[in-house]
Amino acid sequence: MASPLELGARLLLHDKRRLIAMALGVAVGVVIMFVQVGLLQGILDSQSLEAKLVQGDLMVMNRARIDLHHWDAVKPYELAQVAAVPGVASMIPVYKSPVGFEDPDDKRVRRIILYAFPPDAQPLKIGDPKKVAQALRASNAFLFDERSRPIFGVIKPGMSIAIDKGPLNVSGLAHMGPDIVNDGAIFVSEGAWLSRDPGAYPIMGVVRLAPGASLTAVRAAIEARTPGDVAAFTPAEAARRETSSTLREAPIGLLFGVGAIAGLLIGVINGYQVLYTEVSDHLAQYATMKAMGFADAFLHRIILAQAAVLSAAGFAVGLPLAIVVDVLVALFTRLPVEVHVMTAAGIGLAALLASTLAGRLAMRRVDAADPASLY
Amino acid sequence: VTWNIRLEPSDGAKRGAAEPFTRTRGPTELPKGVVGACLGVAVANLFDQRARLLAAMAGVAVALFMLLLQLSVLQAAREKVTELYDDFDFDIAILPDSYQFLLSYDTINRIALDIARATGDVADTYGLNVQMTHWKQIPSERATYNLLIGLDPPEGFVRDPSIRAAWDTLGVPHTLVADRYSQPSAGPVSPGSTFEINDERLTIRGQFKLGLFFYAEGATLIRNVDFSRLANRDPSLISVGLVKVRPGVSLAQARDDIAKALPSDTLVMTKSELEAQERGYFLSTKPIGVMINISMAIACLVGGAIILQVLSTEVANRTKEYAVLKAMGAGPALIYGVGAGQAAILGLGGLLPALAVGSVVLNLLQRATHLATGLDAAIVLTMAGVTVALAAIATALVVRRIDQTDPASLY
Repeated sequence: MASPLELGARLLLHDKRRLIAMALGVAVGVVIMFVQVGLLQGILDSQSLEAKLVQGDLMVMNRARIDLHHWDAVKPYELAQVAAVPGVASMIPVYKSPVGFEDPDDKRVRRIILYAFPPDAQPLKIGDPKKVAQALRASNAFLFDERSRPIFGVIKPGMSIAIDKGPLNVSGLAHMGPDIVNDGAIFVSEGAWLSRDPGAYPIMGVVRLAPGASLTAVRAAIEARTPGDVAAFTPAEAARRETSSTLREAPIGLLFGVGAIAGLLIGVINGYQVLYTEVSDHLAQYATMKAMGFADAFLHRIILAQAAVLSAAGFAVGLPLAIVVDVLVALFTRLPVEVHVMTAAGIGLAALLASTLAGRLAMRRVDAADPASLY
Repeated sequence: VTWNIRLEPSDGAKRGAAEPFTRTRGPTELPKGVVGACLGVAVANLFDQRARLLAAMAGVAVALFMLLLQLSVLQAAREKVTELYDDFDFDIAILPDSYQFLLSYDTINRIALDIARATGDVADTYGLNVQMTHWKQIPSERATYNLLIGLDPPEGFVRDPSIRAAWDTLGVPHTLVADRYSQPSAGPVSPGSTFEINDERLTIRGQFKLGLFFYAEGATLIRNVDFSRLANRDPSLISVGLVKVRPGVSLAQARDDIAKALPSDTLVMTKSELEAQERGYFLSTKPIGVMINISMAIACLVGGAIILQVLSTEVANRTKEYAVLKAMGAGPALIYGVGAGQAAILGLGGLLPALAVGSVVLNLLQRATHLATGLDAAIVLTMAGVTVALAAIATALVVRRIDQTDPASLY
């Protein structure tokens, strides 16, 4: 005797053209969930990019810098105190400042974010370390973030660009990406920046621990040694803090959350429509099985099996579509909009849930099947 | 052309043949007018399977709700990004050439305003200052960002009454007028609260309404004489120069004259050009606008697809019934009308709950963000228009299939 899963699959496979149409119906819900969650995640990921690119164990920042888009700097002597804490192998200062970037074509000045750090230290992961160091060491030079929004014009190595009215040469391209607040980034060496702005304070210090040093001990020592306006976070903590403050400040959670729920509901509704039609078309078969003495529970399992097959098919069709949409959105917005493995797992589960719910609703149609109606 | 066509049996059929048109759940008399007839059949067809009808309407409602939410937020954001400029009455703005949006870090010299006056096209000028500062809430000492807005005397330039009133309040030394819509994280901004800006103790003595949450946690007004001290800015520098044109001079003429008189590192724009640039920056360059547009397109697609799917299932399930109707001599007006009626019922059945739930959610959103997301007539009309368009497209795609049904195929 065939299992319910096999029976369900056979019923669906009977008309392959219709199976594709059905899978597409469920896939619509799956794609909407992917795109909406992807947009939200893209915004959150881009806002916390600075923390995610840090190559170190701790970020030492001013306590008033309650998110990564605040400009509260740390005093250089505080970073010197941090560097002296036992267990700190290196303490790399990172400077950050908005500067005016003059478009070589239309001469309009646009705001861009400048990062500065010692060329060899690589506190941020923005490209091949050797190339970045080499490009930063060139005199009067900066690296341009090639993922910056296109408003800055087409920037190529070798060009001379006025940065805050003073010309600098593009010595290479880096890879970071903009966020909601900022449109692009450039990178210069610490020396070049301090020669322009001798009073500049670092926005953070990136701490790398000595082998064997304990993170908690070093962190406690840093906070004990500095006069109370310095805080140390692991990059992961700083990223999480950024995500929660973004969600608190802007209504994007609601905006895209509702979209994702809409996707889920549409999955349920389309799944129900599809399963209902499927059951209706095979009502005679179900009635026959009932007449043969099959329990309702067995028939229910067939429908749930169909629901599972449908959700799998919908997911299989929806995932590649979602990836295509995400690539296009990422291209337009320059935000890291992509399918995360965890998101995919969650949405797969949501699709299964939606189909099961749809299956449960469609079951009632089978219950109504009457063997006597066959005759 | 009137739609008052009667459903007449074809020549060969006797009138009596049309009457016993019965459906499985009891007889339904066909009403006399075609519109009535179409709606009657449409309702009967749809209500035949109530659970499915409900599911379909719920689907359309969800899609329309999603569209409504995105549409309102986009509309509110469009208004919000120019809100401070809207509080002022001016014709032309003079800006530094690095200007991108309200918070540009560059300034122009007040001399630019005198140069503008010298063109003879100008009735009056106004200096507006904005700068991001820290303000520290006392006694908690919590520091957050504050958008400090420096004002000239308001004569004729300030439209917003609460900002006009602020000018007099600010006559008392060490006084701030704070944005009532400041974020809670800035601390209480009720009159009497104290803050420190640039180590100076200041007391809030009045409030106005702005709510630019995407710039800073709070915003405060101050006279320009005090602005230069609190923001460490040379008193001869301003962020934006506002200009009122003398009556009888055309805007474009005044703009071009002023631009010609000023050095090349200044930008001269009319108010509408400035506001268009402001919106363009936030809604086209920044990704949120793009993302909302994508989500709106998805919502339309989904709403349309659900109506389409229900209609096409309906037609597929009732091929025989349509063929019978045709054999009875029903014209295309009736056949199309039934399809259109079903689409209209589905659309309306989705639109009404979407608007009902939407008005509640948007109201809550408005309270939480101070974005003007409440439902207004324009948005309701837009939503109705979109619904009609989606229903019409779905009908057009499906009814052709009914056209092809052949009475002969029944036998």
